[in-house]
Amino acid sequence: MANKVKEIFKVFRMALWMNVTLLRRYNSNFIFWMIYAAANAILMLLFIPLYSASISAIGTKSIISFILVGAAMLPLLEETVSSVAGEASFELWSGIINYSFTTPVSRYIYFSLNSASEVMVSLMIYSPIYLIAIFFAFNYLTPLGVLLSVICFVIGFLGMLQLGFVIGAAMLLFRRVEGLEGIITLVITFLSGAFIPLQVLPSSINYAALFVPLTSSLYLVRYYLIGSSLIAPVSLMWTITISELVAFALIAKFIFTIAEKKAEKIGFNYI
Amino acid sequence: MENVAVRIRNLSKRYENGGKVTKALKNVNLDIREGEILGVLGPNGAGKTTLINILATLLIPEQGTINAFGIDVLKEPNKLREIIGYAGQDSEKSAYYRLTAFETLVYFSYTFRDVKKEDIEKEIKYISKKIGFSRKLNSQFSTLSGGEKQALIIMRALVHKPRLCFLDEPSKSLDPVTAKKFRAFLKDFVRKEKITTIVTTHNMSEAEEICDRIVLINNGRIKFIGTPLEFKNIIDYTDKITLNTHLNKLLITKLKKIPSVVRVKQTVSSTVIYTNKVNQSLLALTSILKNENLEPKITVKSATVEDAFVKAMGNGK
Repeated sequence: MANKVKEIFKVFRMALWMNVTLLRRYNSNFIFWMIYAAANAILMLLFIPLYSASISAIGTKSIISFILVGAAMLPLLEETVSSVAGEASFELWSGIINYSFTTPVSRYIYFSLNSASEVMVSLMIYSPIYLIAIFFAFNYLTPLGVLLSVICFVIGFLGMLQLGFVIGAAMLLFRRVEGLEGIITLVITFLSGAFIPLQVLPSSINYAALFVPLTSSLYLVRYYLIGSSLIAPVSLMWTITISELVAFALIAKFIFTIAEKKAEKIGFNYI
Repeated sequence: MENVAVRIRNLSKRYENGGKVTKALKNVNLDIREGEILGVLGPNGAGKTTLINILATLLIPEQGTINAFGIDVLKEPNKLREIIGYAGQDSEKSAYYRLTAFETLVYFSYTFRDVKKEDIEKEIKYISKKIGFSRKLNSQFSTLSGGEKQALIIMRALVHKPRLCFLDEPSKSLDPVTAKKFRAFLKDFVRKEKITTIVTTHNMSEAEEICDRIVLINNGRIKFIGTPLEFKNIIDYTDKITLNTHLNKLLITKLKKIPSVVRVKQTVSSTVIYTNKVNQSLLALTSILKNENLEPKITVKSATVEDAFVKAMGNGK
């Protein structure tokens, strides 16, 4: 057990080391990403009048923070979804997969932690947006609210990572699954409530959106951070958030195992 | 008798593609000795890479057992993964493009293997010096030439000093100088560290130079196991004497009567004499040529593993 924990820390540390090394090597790229993140937030703020019109439905204490939290969480978690698939795709294309699969490190852990490290780096890029969101919500923040919103964010992140794993495993099975990835990110973009507040949409759409990955965790983050209204009772939102994490983890492990078995039977060259 | 490091019994593997079944390995039995360099030879599609990939836990066979250093490889693949090194054929791409060679080796070796970072760094410096790679350690993987990338991938397989190492066509894109350094290093390093090494290769001189034993595979079956010297014994001559001239039938008959001459072959512009006692044949040959006032250019070449390979593949006559 101790060895497993040691292995997890080592793989994550090295993955982070690699991502930071590459980030430092290309400073200009890092700056462009920061500009991209800032532009994302600034453009979203153009919609303040639209959001303000529905402020009673949204029920938030800070409309700017409401927008910025969505603007920062959505691309970050979409990247979480796509990073495992991207990693699997790169390993298949490059053949690194043959090396990594001949090592004792669990492939499930390896892919997860590699992706997690990429998201940590992205978090650095999006952190100014979170800081601005916190700045505008500063007067309303409570220690418990911040803690609960961080917990919701982490659970949401882990859930999205597992969803990414499902796509990553599908990548191992079918080689190219950009279409599947596109469908999932499209649904998340429009129905997670990150851009379009679900509170202003018909209740039937709200009901469907509840089961869209990211929706429940994003709304809980906003709820605890800036007191935004929810689209379902808080207990149901928690249940969905945790259930999604467990369900995605089980599905991911299951599909990944199938992909591994197939690879062991026919070889990665043919997968 | 040497210790057996890997014992393979009745190993069979088949692939199915669009309803077509290809038997890649058929009831392979093989004992690999501890600390030896075993060369796996065979034509394209013979089953060499399939064998290596099964041993390296990348593929599972339909049938058979493999025991390596007391580990049941098919039941406990993770245990075996702790003690192996692997260099596949994808060297041109198989690393992160933007990391330097040094970072690549540190990342892969330290992340995936249970070794200390300081030891890895020390080993990287030692190995790169031995194969003349030191000045490339700070170059990004994407900027390395094909041969340099190949050298790096081989280093990645060895740097953590595995007990069992698989090298799939290791010198295929190395230039002759690097290949020579690599062969010298490999022999020295695996002997010193007692690394049992399995090498697939199409380079027969490499097999002859570095391998303690050779396995010849064709159509998924083992056709020969033995030392390079024993392998060369499957051909009936030790040397080839080539004359850069075409001789008449009478002279050919005379040459064939020399006791040590196995056979004589003629082309439009040359004559090749296959012999199993080169000095005796040369003496008789020069005497015959002198009597005929002929002074052709004579070259003598010892039989090679490549000659044996060609013979074994059925194209030796």
